[in-house]
Amino acid sequence: MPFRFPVKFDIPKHAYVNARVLRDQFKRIQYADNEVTRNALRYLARNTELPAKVRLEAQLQLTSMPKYTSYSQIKNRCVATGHARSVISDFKLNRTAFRERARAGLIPGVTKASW
Amino acid sequence: MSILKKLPSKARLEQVKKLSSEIFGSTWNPNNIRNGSKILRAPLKGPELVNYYGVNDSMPTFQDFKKWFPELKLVDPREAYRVKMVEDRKKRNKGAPKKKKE
Amino acid sequence: MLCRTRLMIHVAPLRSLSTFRPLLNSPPSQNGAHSSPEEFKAQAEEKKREEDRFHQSILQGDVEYEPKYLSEDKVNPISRRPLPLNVELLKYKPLQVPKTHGHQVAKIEFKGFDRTELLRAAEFAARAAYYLNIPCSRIANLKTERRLYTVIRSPFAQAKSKENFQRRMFGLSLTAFDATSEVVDIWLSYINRHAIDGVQYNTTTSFRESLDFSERLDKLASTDMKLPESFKDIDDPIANRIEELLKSDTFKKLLDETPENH
Repeated sequence: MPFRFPVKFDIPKHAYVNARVLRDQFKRIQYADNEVTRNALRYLARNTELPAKVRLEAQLQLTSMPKYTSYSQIKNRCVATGHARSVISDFKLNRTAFRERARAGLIPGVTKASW
Repeated sequence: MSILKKLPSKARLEQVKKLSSEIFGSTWNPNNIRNGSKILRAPLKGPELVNYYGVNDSMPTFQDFKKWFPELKLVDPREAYRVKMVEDRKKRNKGAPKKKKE
Repeated sequence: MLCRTRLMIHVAPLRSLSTFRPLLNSPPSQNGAHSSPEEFKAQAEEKKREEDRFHQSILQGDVEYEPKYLSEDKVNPISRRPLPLNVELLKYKPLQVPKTHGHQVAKIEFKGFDRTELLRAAEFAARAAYYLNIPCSRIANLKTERRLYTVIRSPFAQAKSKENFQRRMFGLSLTAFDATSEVVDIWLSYINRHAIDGVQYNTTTSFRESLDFSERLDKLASTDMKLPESFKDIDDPIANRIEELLKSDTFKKLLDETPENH
């Protein structure tokens, strides 16, 4: 069975894993691997003191990089359910997963607020 | 200490500021030209992103315990429950459909 | 109550977030995976052997034991002696050593969700400072930060009914004055060794240098490059690597170059 992504990586063991989470993890790893190149190209494209041709070339190279290396493709998913919407970043949990655990007292420091 | 009768000219003051930024190693961009330095200044965020779903080495999992203590014949209750549910669904003819062969 | 129990469905219980500090902070072993039971047993045995050696070394020396007591009259019936002074002082607030010059040397901030644990950690640090003769301030309260999380109750629609959760971060701070850098290092390493789970420690240390700092830096030789004594038994891999690098030939060559040859 060939690995379903171009580059092999370890599947996360301590989070809920589904196809979308795998895709997101792959994107994260690819971003981390290509971050330096991307940052360099971004710098060349954004620096107004460089000649226009250099900036254009950098922009073209940036767009020609595979889309799974882009930072904007990465989405913080819920670590318990794999859901992508309403994720509270402090806990990496979806709002329903957060509420279940908070009410059960499983999140340290979190209590029902009333004031 | 003598008191200045009038302040030095703006050009002179700018020279001072430029020199002081050279000495103390800070940036000097009086006209706020966009030179992309903010991209170079920002710290790399790759490692933090990769560890979002947890570091695999940080804690052992049930599979690790099964590998370390085969003689104990450990049974993961969560996995056992999941497998039981799948089998029950298959019995009721509700199992997952066959994968399409191209 | 949760809907799952109401519907009487058997679902596996929710996993809680782990806050067990030693597990979270311990670095993975060299082979990359978490240490197996054999490795862990070997490590534990090695630790025990070291501790036994330490105990032996103490017992062999002639140790004069003249304990001080605060309340000599209250004798414990089982041990037939009063409470030692340091144990008795635990009942009272930490004592303070008076400042000699008032130069701030270190500031520790203790942050956490549990007030009692924070107070424990702060009082421990303050008492350790007293015994090390470091002038310390009184334990000060930091502003508690409150984060509010408002969440829709239902898993689907019904956005009109929400629920509020909060998380309060309490804080305490301790300021240390007038101690030498070595003493402060010992104090901080002692606190770090007996750090309490669930408390976040942030320290800033500040020292004054003379104006000929750069000349003194140039005159440093490779023999001066070593970690402080209090860091001798540290198990941080970065610290070990620093030590290795400082002893390596390239660094020695670079450090022993005279300023004219730079």
